[in-house]
Amino acid sequence: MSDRTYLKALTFMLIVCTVLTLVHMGYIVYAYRNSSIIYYISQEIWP
Amino acid sequence: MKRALSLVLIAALFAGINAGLYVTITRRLKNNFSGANQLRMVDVGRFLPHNEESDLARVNSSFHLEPGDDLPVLDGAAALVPVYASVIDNCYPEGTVTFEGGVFDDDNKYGENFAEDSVMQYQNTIRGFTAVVDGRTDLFFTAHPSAEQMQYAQEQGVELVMVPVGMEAFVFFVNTDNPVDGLTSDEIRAIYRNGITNWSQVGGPDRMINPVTRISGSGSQTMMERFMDGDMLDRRHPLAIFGGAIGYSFRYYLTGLVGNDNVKMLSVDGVYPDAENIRNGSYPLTTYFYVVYRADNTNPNVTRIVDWLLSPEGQEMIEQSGYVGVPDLNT
Repeated sequence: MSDRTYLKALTFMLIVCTVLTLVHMGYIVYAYRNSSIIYYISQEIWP
Repeated sequence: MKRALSLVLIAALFAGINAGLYVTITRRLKNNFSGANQLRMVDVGRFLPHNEESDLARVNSSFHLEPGDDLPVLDGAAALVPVYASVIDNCYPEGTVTFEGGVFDDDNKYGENFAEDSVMQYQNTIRGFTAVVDGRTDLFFTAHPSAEQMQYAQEQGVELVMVPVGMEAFVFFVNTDNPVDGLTSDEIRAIYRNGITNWSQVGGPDRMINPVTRISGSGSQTMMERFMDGDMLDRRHPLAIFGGAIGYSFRYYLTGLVGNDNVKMLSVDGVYPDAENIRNGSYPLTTYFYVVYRADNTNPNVTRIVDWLLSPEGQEMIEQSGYVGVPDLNT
């Protein structure tokens, strides 16, 4: 893999992964504000 | 080869982060992405009057309204649906409730699923209170209205009559796997003022506390603001969302309407919020719930229904609905 190809692939992957993660986090913020607190707490995981 | 591996590792890192977020948070928000879902948890169809299969309190009432009477329109908070639906079931003629069902969505988030001419409505606390002030509802069943709601009535020049008709407990709850079973009032206030931020500070494991709040204007949020004397956290620690949560609600909403077995109520100041401790006043966060109507409402059946609610029959209906009657009336 050439340097140019690697940099392209790396940049592409970082952008895609970052955008997807930000979308996921944005959804969490939106959904968390409006969710049922009883359901939210009932699904909590305790070790 | 190393470069290809590095790309795979980066992808795996992001996948791990998102998987972690999903397991700890997103999964718990499933199908709960709009305000409408908070109301969806009360299945109004379970409490339709004059339906043998409905889960209502029936007391063979001696008070009955007739089809030709001016029938008051009833509405109320989600937690009190069984109470006012039982009033209609016991005292109203059949054929006066028209439930249209329908799908809850963001345009119908307050459950406007009763016909306009139905004597039973379900708009929940925020919109329902406005409806009684504006004269679209005759009797509204609710916890104590918020300061903003009372101010709205004042601004509209409307005098309201609030009659306590039953008692209810304001409760705090956590996941059943949370080892903490009780808190003191001071500890709860400290949690909601960011003074206590870890369960280990109140006898639990070393885990951050996630103090969950409700939407402004809801009955439970109004009660919480009164409990906190208006001094409540504005922001949680950003990582608290990963912590063990504590929430609050009214007892019957939690145990009777929603009935989720994976949450448990906490004792407060060493007293568990069961019916007996509410009745005898030992549970510290006991509150009245009210029926509210406009003082200038000229429908004579409004006060007749209120009188019936305060009678032994009405109080029995409230007890059978899962609440506690007003003690002074029972002695």
